[in-house]
Amino acid sequence: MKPKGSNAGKIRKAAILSCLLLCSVLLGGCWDRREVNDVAFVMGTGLDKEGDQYRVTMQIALPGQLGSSGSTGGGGGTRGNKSYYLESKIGPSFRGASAEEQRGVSRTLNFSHRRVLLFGEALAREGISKMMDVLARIPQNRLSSLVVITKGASLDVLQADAPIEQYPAEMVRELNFSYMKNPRSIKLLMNSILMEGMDPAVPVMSLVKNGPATIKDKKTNIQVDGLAVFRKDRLTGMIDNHLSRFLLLGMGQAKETEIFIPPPKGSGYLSVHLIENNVQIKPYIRGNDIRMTVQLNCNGNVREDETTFDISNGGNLKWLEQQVAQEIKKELGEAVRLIQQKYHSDVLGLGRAIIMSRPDEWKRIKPQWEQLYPKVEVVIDPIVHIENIGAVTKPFGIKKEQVQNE
Amino acid sequence: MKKVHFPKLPRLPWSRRTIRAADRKTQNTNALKGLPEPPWLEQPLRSSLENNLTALRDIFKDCSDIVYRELMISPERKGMLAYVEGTVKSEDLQDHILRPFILGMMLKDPEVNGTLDPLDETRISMSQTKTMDQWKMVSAAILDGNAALFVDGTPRAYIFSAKGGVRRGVEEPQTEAVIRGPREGFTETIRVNTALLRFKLKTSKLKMHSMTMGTETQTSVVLTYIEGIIDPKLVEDVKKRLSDIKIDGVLETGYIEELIEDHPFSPFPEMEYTERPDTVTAQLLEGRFAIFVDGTPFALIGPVTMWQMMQASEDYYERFFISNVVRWIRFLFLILALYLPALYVAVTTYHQDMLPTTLILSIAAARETIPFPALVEALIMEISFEALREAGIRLPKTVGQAVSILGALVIGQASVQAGIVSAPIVIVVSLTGIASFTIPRFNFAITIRLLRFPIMLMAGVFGLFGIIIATTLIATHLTKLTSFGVPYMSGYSPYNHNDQKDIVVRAPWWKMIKRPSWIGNDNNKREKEKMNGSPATEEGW
Repeated sequence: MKPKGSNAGKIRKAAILSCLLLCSVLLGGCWDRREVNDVAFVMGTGLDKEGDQYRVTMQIALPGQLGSSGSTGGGGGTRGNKSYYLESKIGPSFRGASAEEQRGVSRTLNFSHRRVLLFGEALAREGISKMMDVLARIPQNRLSSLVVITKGASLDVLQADAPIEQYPAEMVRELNFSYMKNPRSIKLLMNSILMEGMDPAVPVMSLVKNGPATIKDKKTNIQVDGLAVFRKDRLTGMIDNHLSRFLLLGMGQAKETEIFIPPPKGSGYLSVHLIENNVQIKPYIRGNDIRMTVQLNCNGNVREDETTFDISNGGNLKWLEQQVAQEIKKELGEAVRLIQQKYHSDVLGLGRAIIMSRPDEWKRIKPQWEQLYPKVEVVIDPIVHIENIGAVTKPFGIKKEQVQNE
Repeated sequence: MKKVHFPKLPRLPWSRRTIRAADRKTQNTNALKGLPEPPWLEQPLRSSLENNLTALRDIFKDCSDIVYRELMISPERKGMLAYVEGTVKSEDLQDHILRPFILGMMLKDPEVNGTLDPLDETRISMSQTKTMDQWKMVSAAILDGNAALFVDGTPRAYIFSAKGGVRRGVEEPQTEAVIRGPREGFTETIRVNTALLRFKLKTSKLKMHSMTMGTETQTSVVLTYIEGIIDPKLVEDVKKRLSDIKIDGVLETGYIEELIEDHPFSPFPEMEYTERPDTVTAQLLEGRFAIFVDGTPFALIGPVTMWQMMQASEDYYERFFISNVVRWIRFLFLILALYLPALYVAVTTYHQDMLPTTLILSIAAARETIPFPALVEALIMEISFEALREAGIRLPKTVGQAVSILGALVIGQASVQAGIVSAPIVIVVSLTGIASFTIPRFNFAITIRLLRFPIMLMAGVFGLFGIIIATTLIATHLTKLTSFGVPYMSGYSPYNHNDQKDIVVRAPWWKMIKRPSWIGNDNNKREKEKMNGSPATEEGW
């Protein structure tokens, strides 16, 4: 008899054990294996309303057309082939249309790299809340996708040429980043929809041509058209490009704002570029009489002086700062009137300001806030500080005698 | 309370299989006898030269390299000198043995003629001489490169140490080049090696314990250590393990390494080998031992920790600021060497969500026309890289260049252009290749290189979870591993604060006051605490 635990026994045990391990590995493994060339990456999705049903348009990346080395057959984007294609289907719901879509695509649709979610104007006016469930329920639908409202159908924007980026969706995303400080991702948008005393605002984009009809190389492009303001989850109106810049200042979301000021004498404009702004909203409540002070602290640079006005002396600069403040006060005031009275959309978060500073008052105000909001008196109080007037101090192309300096 | 008895778990074959003295008792019962020897060998020498010559010719039958030189000791006495051609310095024999006798005969010096003992100090001017009267010893001495002089009428042989023969000189180490540091490396001659060590450690505390191994090769092996620094129990243990080796031949330190290590089934090396005397010296000063084997330029060092495998001798010669950064790069690339292909496989087959969009699109673009799954692609490339490396070592230098050109084509552009593998995997393979060469200890680098294959398979089967499982298994094994009783991860597991000065960071010399903690010795301080260079002194900074 061999002693227990002899060498042969040990080896047999080891063999059995490794067989079992191998079985578990080979049987259990690989079941969700998806090679990267069996996956279709959705770069952007457009949602539109068509009758009772939803039209979902997906922009699917064609990596083979990217012209990266290794894609031997393709030859790359230089051939003029688009690096994406659109797949558009109708379904009873967002997910329903997406499932429909999968039936026409041989690769597994992957939504984890979706850059943007576009809502057509018509759909957004009916409300976007119910679309949001699927986005949060399936983790692959990243909440970091950016939300944009399109003028007209979102389908059109998605089929832009957008030659500057690889995909139009990428362009929409980049435009978002240059437009707002914190672009509205699904997460931020849902936050402001669900938050009391705050309504969401989302950039509006549309399809444009890259120049007048006479331009030879015709391409379609995407541009920002302004700001869509919501009431709860419904789109109520669109602020045009000019006013939306000031509205963004008021929201503390402005990224690059240029303000043009005419000089006291003569023609032309002085351009002031605001690089930094902080907003503080302070409510004053007496019964149902609510006043708000919107305090803005802006820092800026002078970008252009095509007038004869000399800004190199302190007094003149002060005058310019005041003019900029006046301009902000006037234009932002108009934008605020628009959202208060016409669109009933609290994108500045006036209600939020009350909740933050006077939670007790809010309890009382809350039931009638809908009626009170348009009547709130908003005082805009901007302070502008010009930090830098550029490399030249006096107007550059003008003789010394003609420069006005008072 | 009823006591619960757990069933005894079967011992896994790769669990601790320390070769202990108790285990070895069973081995000793079937002790190695060696080959059958001629009957002469057990007998003493005779006084008649004729008889001795017959015995000698019988022992060394068909050994054409044995030289028998007959000579006259005195007019009445004949003598004979026997040695192995090539292993002795024939000039020494001519000058110091043959010439004195021949001159003595010519001069007819009465004193010379009357002398019986050729070992008379006035005659033989050799430095090491011995007399032997047993054939066994005489034959061993001749084979060891000595010359034996037999004299008619004396039942003894006079052994002159005239060891010589052509061996390689001291050269720059081939495997461990440095920018800054000594350029001498060990040679195949054990006495040269011990002398190189003695040049560096001029202390009587440096002990050299000699022994002979191999029933046929009779290889001399030297165990060396510094008494007072090393743990005496460790020395005892190593001596025991070494003396238990019974084998026909020892050609390299690798034989000994495999026969004395704690865990024969571990993929990780439990001893370090080096060609550099300065490395050996530094390790001896940290309480380790070294083993020299005649016939190989490598010295074995033990016990080791994993961190030691990541340390190059230059770390200690270059300024600490620089060696720290270099060491961190090494650690970073250690991780890359182990995980990069596995990560590539896991990410491209399971976790496309994880990469930045533009990166995954470039990978997708490159993989668009590739016929293989990522795992197969990675295996093809990694295995061909390993083959290329192996071929590069084996090939004669004259054709070596052809291999590197072919390899660059196969692993590089051509296979990408043919659409067999994608460009990213070429980058991954080259990066892992570079990464594995940043590991200073080659035996550790091989282990890392081979371990990345199971990790790759796990990644191909389970994705990132597989990588985590593999990492857990490796980490468990590493924490359990010991080298001569010293935990492999010493410093981190078990944790020791003082040891941190030479693991991930290399503290400045004025800060590394103590030797590693695992020595288990009170004598662990290696330098004065506040020296001129240290910022603790007033004039410091």
